[in-house]
Amino acid sequence: MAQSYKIMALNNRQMADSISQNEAQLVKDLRRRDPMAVAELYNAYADRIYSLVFNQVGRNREVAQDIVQETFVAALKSAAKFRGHSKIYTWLCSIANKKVSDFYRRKKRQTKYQTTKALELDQLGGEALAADSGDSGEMQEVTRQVLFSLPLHYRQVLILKYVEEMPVLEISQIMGRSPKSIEGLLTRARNELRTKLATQSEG
Amino acid sequence: MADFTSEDEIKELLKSACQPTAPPPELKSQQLQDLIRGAGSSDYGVTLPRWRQPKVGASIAAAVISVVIGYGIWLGQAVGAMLAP
Repeated sequence: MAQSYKIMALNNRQMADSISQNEAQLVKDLRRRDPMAVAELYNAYADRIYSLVFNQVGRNREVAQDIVQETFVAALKSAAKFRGHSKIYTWLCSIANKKVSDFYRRKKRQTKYQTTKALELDQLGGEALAADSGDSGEMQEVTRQVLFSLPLHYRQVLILKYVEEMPVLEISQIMGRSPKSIEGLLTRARNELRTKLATQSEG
Repeated sequence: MADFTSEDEIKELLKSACQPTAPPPELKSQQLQDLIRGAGSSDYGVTLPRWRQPKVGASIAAAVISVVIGYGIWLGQAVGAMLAP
């Protein structure tokens, strides 16, 4: 079926919050497991989801790749449940965020005998950050280290707000919290980031 | 080093630290093939809404039938009592 869905969500962040007709058609075709629709979904969103996950897991490529795969599999499985109350990208981000949380929960279970500190800067992320530092500026590297040292929900909300440039309402849909709670979370996350950056700059 | 008091400074800092990164093309094509193959087979079983899952649906149906039967019995008794001399 040669059908072009023309997904507008890719570069147009001004689009209304509700699902567009093209996206609705894409979801309908995903429910039928149409291979064209699967390819359309993956090609349209894989890069952005990868980038989002990559930054959340301390720039670890292998972990990011696995989580992206899990995200798309989960999206296909749950396409029947998607009601179109949000954009497809928002829906995928919420699945990806849950998968990242699941990853850290599994890791926590595996390493619960280790100290909390070791968990904060876990081996995977720590090594990835260190390996990634060669070609980037010092400030970028310090920011990455500080960002990765924050609790996961702080990291997620900061990335969604400032890197993905999402409005609070969309972040609240992704994180399953009220907009007011997201604003509070953002304030705490910003303060923590500022404090840690200031400590780094003093040290 | 700046004290990062404004939101714009934080945004600039985070955007610079978290620049968009794409997965390797060979990985993308492999993942896409896996997804299409999985979607075509029964590997990715459809997850139905909870109320449509067989166990939950059967429980709901049993509860509804019980209520209807109970109401029928109560109604029968009530009508019988009304008609009794």
